[in-house]
Parts: sequence; structure tokens; C-alpha cells
Amino acid sequence: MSASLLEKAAPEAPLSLVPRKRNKKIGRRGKFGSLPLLLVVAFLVLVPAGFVLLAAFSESVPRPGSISFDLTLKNVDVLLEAGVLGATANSLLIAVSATAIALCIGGLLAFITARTNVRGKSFVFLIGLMPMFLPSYVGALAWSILGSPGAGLLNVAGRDLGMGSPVNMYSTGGVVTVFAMYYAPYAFLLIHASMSLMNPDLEDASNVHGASTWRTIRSVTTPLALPAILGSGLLMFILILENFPVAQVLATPGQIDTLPTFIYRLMNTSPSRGNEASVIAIVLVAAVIAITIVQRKVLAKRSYTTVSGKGVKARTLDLGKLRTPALLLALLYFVLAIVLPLLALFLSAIRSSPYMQSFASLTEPGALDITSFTEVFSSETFHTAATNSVLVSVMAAAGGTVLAFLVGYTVYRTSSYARGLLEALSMVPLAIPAIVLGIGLLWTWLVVPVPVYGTLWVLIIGFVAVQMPQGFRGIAAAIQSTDRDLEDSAVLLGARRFRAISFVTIPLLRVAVSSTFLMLLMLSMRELTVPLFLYTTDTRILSIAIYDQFENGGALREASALALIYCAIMFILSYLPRRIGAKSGSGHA
Amino acid sequence: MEVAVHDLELAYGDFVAIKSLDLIIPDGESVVLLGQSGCGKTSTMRCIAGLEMPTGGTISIGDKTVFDGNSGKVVPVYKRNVGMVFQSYAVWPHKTVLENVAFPLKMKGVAKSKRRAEALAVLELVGLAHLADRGASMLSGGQMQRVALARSMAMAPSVLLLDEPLSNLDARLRDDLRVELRRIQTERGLTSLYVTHDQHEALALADRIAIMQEGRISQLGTPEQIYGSPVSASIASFLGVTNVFSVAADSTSRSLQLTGSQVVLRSTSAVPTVASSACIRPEDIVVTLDQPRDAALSASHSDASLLDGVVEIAVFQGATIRCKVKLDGGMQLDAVCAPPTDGMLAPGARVKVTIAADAVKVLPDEAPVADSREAVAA
Repeated sequence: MSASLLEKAAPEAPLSLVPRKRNKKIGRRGKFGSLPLLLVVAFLVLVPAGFVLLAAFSESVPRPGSISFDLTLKNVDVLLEAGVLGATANSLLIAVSATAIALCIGGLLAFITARTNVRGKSFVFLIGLMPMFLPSYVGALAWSILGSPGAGLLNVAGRDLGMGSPVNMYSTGGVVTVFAMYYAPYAFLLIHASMSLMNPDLEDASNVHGASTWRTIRSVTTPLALPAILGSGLLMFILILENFPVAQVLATPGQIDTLPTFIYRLMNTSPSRGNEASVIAIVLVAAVIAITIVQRKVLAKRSYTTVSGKGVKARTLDLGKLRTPALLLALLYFVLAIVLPLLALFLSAIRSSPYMQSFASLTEPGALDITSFTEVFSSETFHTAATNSVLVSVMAAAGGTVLAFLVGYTVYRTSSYARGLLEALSMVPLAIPAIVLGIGLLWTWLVVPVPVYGTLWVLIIGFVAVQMPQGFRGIAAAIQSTDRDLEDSAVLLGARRFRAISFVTIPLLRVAVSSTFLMLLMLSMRELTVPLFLYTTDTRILSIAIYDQFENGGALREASALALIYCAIMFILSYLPRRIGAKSGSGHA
Repeated sequence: MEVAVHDLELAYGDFVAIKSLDLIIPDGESVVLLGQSGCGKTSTMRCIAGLEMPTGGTISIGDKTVFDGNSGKVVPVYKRNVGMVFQSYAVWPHKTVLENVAFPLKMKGVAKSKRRAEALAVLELVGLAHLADRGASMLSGGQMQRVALARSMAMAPSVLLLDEPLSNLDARLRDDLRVELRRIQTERGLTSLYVTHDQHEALALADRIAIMQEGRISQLGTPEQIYGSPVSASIASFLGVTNVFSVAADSTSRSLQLTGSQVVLRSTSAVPTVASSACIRPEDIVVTLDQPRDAALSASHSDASLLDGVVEIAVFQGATIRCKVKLDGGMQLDAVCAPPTDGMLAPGARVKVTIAADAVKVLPDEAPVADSREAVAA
């Protein structure tokens, strides 16, 4: 048999490796089925971004019925205005110094909790994490109560003690301090993870070869944690650079402009200078994209920090006499970031007069009045804002979770042509500062001939768009780590695809889906910048109500009480996912 | 039911994973696709199941065409009635064993009361009826394997596909389950296609083995045929023939010149005209200690190759000894033989190596293309 086969084989051997022409009909549905989804996602992010880009280079901003295509470059001149240059310089100065300080705080706390025997270790860990759950602009508001140059509580106390007015939060220093305090947890989390996963052998090796403990920390430990340090540094730099509320609360009263506040001011002057705001917005986007690219490169090199794998217990360093001082240092941060602000809010919530000459005046009868809380609870403003907040956040979180699931499923489980595009589009909002996206969303939903502007729907749509990256990441990780054979086997056994998804995949992803939902819920609750452009009188939400009442000055008591209630809600919301995670963790091995 | 795959092609962009593949699994037979990882065997199976969309060819199960690349007809996965046991088992951890096994019955619309009884009957077959109400995440690997098998059998599949189902189990369990799988398969007369890269598994489970290389079936035959006469040197070496030496161009079977050494072997097989190799199973090589009286003994093997060498490494394996022998001609042989009665095959010992002429097979390096159609016809 072999002989005849061999003769035949020779001419046939160079069988073409090029695939033959395919029947185009095969599998078309699977490849184009996700087109509607792609359109939805593209509309959510690309249209707003496109409008900002268009406005930057045209004569007038998009209005209902008239989208201007008269292209011009004259808006670019705004970049040469002294105000813009100053705002850029301020933004950079603030972002750089706040990032540096936040890295010091977060890095130090991470080091002492991950690698030393500091007293009260688990409490110090909580201290490192906690400021994350206090929205940074609530922190900023509280610090403006504490440290405004005239009536700030710390300055009142200073005058009581005959020290003059020691603190001025309406300054670059003040802004930097608040940013540093409330963004330090990002550094803490990333650096802590890297330090506690570090293979102790690497450090032992350094000791064995004759290095002292401190020398080892300097030349082995720190370089190994460097990717986490740089990664979190760049992340914080972006977040601070694009942050609007904190700068608005603290820098604006001090006549200091940052890029986001400058954009906001251009939008709100009369007549509005939206085209020029768009130009600055685009500069900001370009900066953020550039830094994101750098950050990706840095994080891509991260691999060498996690060489250890699981189950490695990192070495702990004996602090000796420094055990208690280290705890005190952490406590100082805790007091400044959490205790003082909450106390200040509480005090201004129960003070009957908004003005206070001296702390002695608090002892006067009638100076303190706890009824503000009941007033707030029974007030119309609170009811509307709270109802709106809950409605908007729940709907946005639900919508965002469903969208994230659809996108995640399409990207990782289908052969759709749109996969790469969907994934990229979902990540776009990361590169667009909230203030820019807010403007774009405003224009989009003013122009679109669907009556959603002025209703809660526009807020819901806006939140879904802004939070797409977070939702997608949460769900995508879970989909990737779930074996797709589990679902395929149900289809083989006779279930339609949809049935298989609901019978197998969704139950298996239950934890990821519910924690993504709660995360989006919390992000929606604390979002301020985007709704600032989208809200109308009837659609105020809690974050807006607090901001409004502070900005308008008059209702400091109610605002403070509202802020405290708001914080309580945030704490509960951030606690829930852990409970749920813990429960399901033990239920299913 | 008979499964017929004709002219199947699967391409991802310019990469062709399956090239013009023909395969028939006769009703009630067990065919094993055997090949190295990346040869396209799992892709072939997934095409039959419908989880992968081929770019051309036809697939039919029974008298129903489930895929036709020319007309564009595709029967969706859930209507194919194909059972599949995944390498990862794919047993649903959030359901009980019974819920897992009863699922296909539910999909077939079997009444709830009958479902339980039927599912229990299948679980009985795989010996897991006593675990019916246990959560599936509490099972061991071997038990999950059985649940996956029971689940696929409960649907009374037209064909059962098994994708390296034993590869995640430890060696002992693998041996037990292999025998059991074969029992169930023959008992039930299941038409099945089994994918593996393990030759022992293939030999044990197959009615027929299809060797798959680079997206093609390069040889198809009964386990005995495949083992006894592989059609190419690369198949032979995949089947555990560890001594493969390329043959110099002008060799004849009476005097096989091996490239890169002075050793000359004798063989009974004809030397092909294409690039080819001499293949010798390690078990067919006789190694004896070099003692004068052996000369008379080996002289009787007039048709054998008689060689001299030195033992480099010897590993005691209980019933046998596996050793590497460096021949004086300059090449190294791998041999498995009974321990000699008169001494030790220690490193450094001078030995005589005897290889019968019919143990030396001269095979083309690569199997000729388009062999599969011939083999199916044969």
C-alpha cells in the first residue's frame, strides 16, 4: 500500500496553505449580532466627545436644531491668555506636589502595615483605606469650614489661644493638602498589595550578602515596589489633575484657577464661552491620554513584583521603640483626614448661628441646636434630592451592570467583529476628565431630539456613560476567569444560548455582578462633576444639593447635616459589598 | 449514529487549523483522534459539536447534515444532540449532582417525576447514585469526571465526544477510569470520538485510531495496525519508538547506512525513495553483557544486526531495565530489556546489542498527504 501512496503523494504535497474561499453566509449572525450594542456604546461616549471636539474648532457651540460646522481656529487663541497659562501652571504644581505627598503618606502607611510590627496593625490598615470612602469634595467642604481664613474653626481656635489665624485653606497649600489626604488611599492600596506579596527570599538574599536592614529596604524592597509606586503615582496625578470639586471649593475662593475650574468658569460666564472651554478641555484630554500611555507602560513592567505567587508571607520588620510613634503618625493622618472634618461638619450642623467669634460662644445658651438634623430629614430639598439620588444611582448602576455584562460577554465569549472596538470604547471615558464629559453630555442631550434633558433620565444616561470603564473591568475579569466550557456544555445538552447564560453563567457570576452593581451605585452616589452640568431644579441629587447649599452660603447648617447623612450612606454602601463578598465566599467553595 | 466529516476546513484568518479532513465514525464505534497538542484534534471535535464554525466542508450526524459549507446550512449546537465531556469537566458547581445530570432531560421536556428516576439510573451506571444530592463543587476530580459523563449520557447523544477527559486525573485513577470508560462505551454501544495525546489511552479505548498531524489525519486504523505498522517515522516516534535514525540516501535494506555514524543495520523493509528513517522500538533491542560464549549464541541470528557498545546509563524499572547504550559506531540507542541473569548492566559495561532485521522498520519521515481517504476506504 505504501508504494502507491507515495507516488501519489509527491504532486499533492504542496497542498495550498491558503484557506479556500469561504461561504460568507456561515456564522454571519454571530459576527454581526452585536452591532446594536456597538451603536449604543459608541453613542454614549463618542458623540459627547465628538461634540466637544467640534465645538473647539467651530464658531458656536452645538444647540438644538443648529449644529455649527463653520470651522475656525480662532478659539485656539484662548490658550495664550494669561489666565490659561496661570491655570495650567497651578494645575501642574498642585497635581505634582499633591501626588508626591500622597505617595509619601500612602507609601509609609503601606510599608508599616505590610512589613512592620506596628502597634494596632489592622487599625492602621483601616486608617489607610478609610479616606477613600469619604468623597473628596465633602472633605474639601469640611476643610473649608475648618480652615477658611476668616471664620475657619481652626483660625477661631487660634485666635482664642492668641496665635492669630494660623491656617489658610484657600491657598495652593490648602488645595494640595486636601488632595494629598484624600488620594493617599490609592497609593496605599497598590503599594500595600505589592509589599505584602513580596518574596522574602529576595530580601533575605540581600542580608545574607551583607546588607543591613535599612540598606536592604533602600536597595531591594523599594525598587521592587517601584512599579506600584510609579503606577499609583500616575493614577493619582491624573485624578488630581482632572478633579474639579475640590479645586472649586478651596482654590476658587482664594482666586486660584486650575484647568477644570477655568473650564467651568468659561462655561458659566455670560455669554458662555463654550468653544474656548472646549479647546482647553481638549488640551486636558490630551494630557490625560499621554499620562495614561505612560502609566500603561509602567504597569506593563510590573510583573517582576509578583514573582512570589501565593502563600508567601512577607518578612516583618521589628520597629522596636518606634512601634508606638508609627501608630501615632497614622493616627495624626486619621485625625486630619477623617475625625476633624467630621467633627467640623457636626459642629456646624448643630450650631444655631453660622457665625462664631470664639469657641467660648458655644457655651452660651441656645448656641447649640441639634434640630438641624430633623429639619433636614423633614425638608423638601432633602426628600427630593435623596429620592432622586437613590432613583438615579440604582437605575444607573443597574443599567451600567447590564451594559457591562453585555459588552464583557460579547468581547470575551463571542466571535463578533465588534469585540476589539467595544472593549476600546468602554475604556474611553477613563481618558476624558469628568468635567469634559459633562459638557459633552450636556450638548449631546440638548441636541438629540429625545425629551430626556431636564429629566432624571439624562443623569442616568450620563452616569452609565461615565462609569463604563469601571463596570466593564469588574465584569470582564469575572467572565474571563469563568471557564466557558461550563456554558457551552449546557448548550450541547440541548439548551438555547440564552437559556444557558441564565442557567449557568449568570448564577456563577452572581458575586461579580452584585459587587459591580454596588460599586457603580457608590460611584453614582458620589459623582458631582457630571451632574453639575446636567441637573435642573427638579432633578437635584444629594451631591448637588450639598454643593449648592455650601456654594450659596446661606444654609451652612443644613448643608453640614446633609453632608453627614450623605457620608453615613456612603459608609454603609461601601460596607455592603464586603459583607456580600464574605457571605458568598463561605457559601461556595 | 454514524458521523461523517467530509473535506472539513477550519481557518482563522490565514492560519489553517484543519486542512481538508475526512473522517467517518461508524455507528457504535469508538474512534480516537490521537495527536500532539496544536495538531487540530480538539478543533475537529469542536466543529462536530458546533462550538467552532468551520470555514468549509460538510458534517453529518446520522442522516442529518449539521453543517454544509457550500449551502451555508448550520444546525445550531443545541439541536445537534451531541454529548461532550470537557477536559475541565464543566460540571456546574452551583448545582447538585442530580441537577447536573437531569438538565438534558429537562431540556428534552421529560416530565419532572420521570427525570429523577432516569437521572439516577444513569448515575448508577457510573457508580455515583449515592452522591446524587451532593453539591457538585464538593466532588473530587474523578467524581466530577463521572458526573460529566453521566450528564452527557443522560441525553442519549447521537455521538459522544470526549476531550482528553482523563488528563487532569492522577495516574492511578486514570488507569481505572480508562477501563471503566471502555466498559460503558462497549456496553452501551456508544458512537464516540475521543481526543487525546496519550498513546496508551488511545490504544486502550479505540476501535480505530486516527493519527492527526498538522491539521490532517495521517493514518487511520485499528490500534493493532497503528501500533504494528505506523506509516511514518514521525508517527512511530509519537507512538513511543524512541530510536529513530535518518537513513543515508544510497542505503539498501541489507545495509542501512545511518547518517552521522558508521553503524550499519539490517532490515526487512524496503527503503522508500523519499527521506526516511530507521525506527526501532526500545523493547526490540536485546542487550547482553559482552562475554566470549555469547559469540556462538549470536551467530545463530544470521539475519540480525550485531553491534558492540558501552552502557552509559541504566535505570532499573522492576521487570525491565531501561538503558542507553553508546555504540562503537558513534550513536546512542535506547533499549528496554530483561535484567541479565549473569551480571549487571552497570554504566561502563561492554555490551553486545542484537537487533532482529524485522524489528528495524524503514519509514518515510512524514506520512504522505491524502492518506486518510485511502485508509477509510480500506
